[in-house]
Amino acid sequence: MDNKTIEDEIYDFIDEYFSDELAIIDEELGFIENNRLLTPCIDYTYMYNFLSDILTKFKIIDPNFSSITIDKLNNDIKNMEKNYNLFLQKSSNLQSVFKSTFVKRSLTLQNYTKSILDLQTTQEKSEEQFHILKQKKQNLVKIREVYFPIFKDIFLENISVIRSDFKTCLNTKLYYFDKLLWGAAADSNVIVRHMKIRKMEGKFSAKEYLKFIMSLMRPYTDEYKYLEKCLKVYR
Amino acid sequence: MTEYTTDEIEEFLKINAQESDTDSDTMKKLLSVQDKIKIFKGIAPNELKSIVYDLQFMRYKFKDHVVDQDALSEVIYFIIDGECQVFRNRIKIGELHPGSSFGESGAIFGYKRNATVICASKSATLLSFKIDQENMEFASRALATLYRNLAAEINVKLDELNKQVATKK
Repeated sequence: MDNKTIEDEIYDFIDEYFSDELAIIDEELGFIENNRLLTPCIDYTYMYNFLSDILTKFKIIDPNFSSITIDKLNNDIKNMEKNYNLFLQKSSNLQSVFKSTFVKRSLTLQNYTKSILDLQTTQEKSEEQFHILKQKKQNLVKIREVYFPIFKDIFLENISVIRSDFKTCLNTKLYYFDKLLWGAAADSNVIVRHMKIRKMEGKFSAKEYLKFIMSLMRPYTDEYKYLEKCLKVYR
Repeated sequence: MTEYTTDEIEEFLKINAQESDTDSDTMKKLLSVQDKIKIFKGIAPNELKSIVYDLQFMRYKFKDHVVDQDALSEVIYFIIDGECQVFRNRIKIGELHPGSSFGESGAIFGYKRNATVICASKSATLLSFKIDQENMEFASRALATLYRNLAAEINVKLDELNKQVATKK
C-alpha cells in the first residue's frame, strides 16, 4: 500500500470526523466574504465573557437597551464558542482519535482485522493457519505503525487550520458585537446618565467604562487581570 | 448560523466605514511618526494598530524621571518634543532628542531598565505605548517583523560596542 492511498484515506476520515465543524466554518467564512466584513487583526476572542456580562448589565440599567442585531450576534457567538470548545475536545487526544475512531473506520485496517478475527474463530486450525494468524497479527501492528505518523502529521496540520479558521470567524463576530454594543450604549441616555451619576469621567466609551469599573475594583484579582487584558483591545 | 437581514448587514458595513475614523489622537500620532521608530519599520499601519496598546501622551517637567534604572516596565517611549538625558549608575551616558525612541528591549524582553532617563528641557512631551506580544494569532506577521527589527537594532548596538572596545585597546 503506497503513502498516497493512506493519505487519501486519512483526509477522507478527517473530512468526515470534523464534518460539523467544517460546515460551520464554510458558512461563517462565506458570510464574512460575501458581505465584505472585516477580519480584525486585534484579538477579540477572549472578550465574550466581558461583553456578554456588559450586555446583561446594560439591559438592567436600561430595559429598552439592545437591538435584534446585538441579540442575534450574542446568540451566534455563544453557539460558536460552544462548537469551538467541542472541537477542542474532539481534537485534543490524537492517540485516542487514532486508536478508537480512525482504526475502527479505516477500511484497510478493518478488513485486515476482520481477516484475523475470521481466522481466529476458525476451529481446529492447521499449523499453517496458526502461522498465518501469527504473521497477520504482526503485520497489523506494522500497518498501524506505518499509518500513525502519517495520520499524526495530517491530523495536526488540519486541526491547526480548522482552529485558526474558527478563531477568525469568532473574532469577526466579536468585533462587530463589541462595536454595536458600545455604539448602542453611547446612544442610550439612560446608560450615559447612569454612568455620569456614578462619577465616570470623560466621554462615554468602552475604554473609559472599563477604566472606571476597574478603578472601583481590588487589583490583582483574577477578574481585575481579565479586565486589564480586555482593556488592551481598546488600545 | 443566524440569518441576518439586509438592514443588519448595513449596520455592519457602517462599522467598516467608521473603522478608520475611530483612531484615538494618540494612535493617529503614533501612526504619523511610525517611520521614525526603527522597530516599526516595514509594519503596515493596520498591523501596527494590532500590536500596540495603552497609548498615552506623557508630559514631563525639567528633572522629572521618565524611567528609572533597574525598574521593570513594559513601556516604550517616543519623544515628541523636549530633550532627555540618559544616566547609568548616575553617570551621564547620552542625550535623547525629539524623534528618538527608547525602552524597546526592556519592554519586549522584560529586562530591568539599564539606565535612568530624565527630562532635560523645561518640559517634554512623550508618546508612551506597550506591545501586545500575546496577539500571535492575528498579528504574527507584524510581531515577526518587530522582532526582526529589534534584532537588527541590537546588532547595530553590539557593533558600536565592539568598535568602542577595539578603539580602547
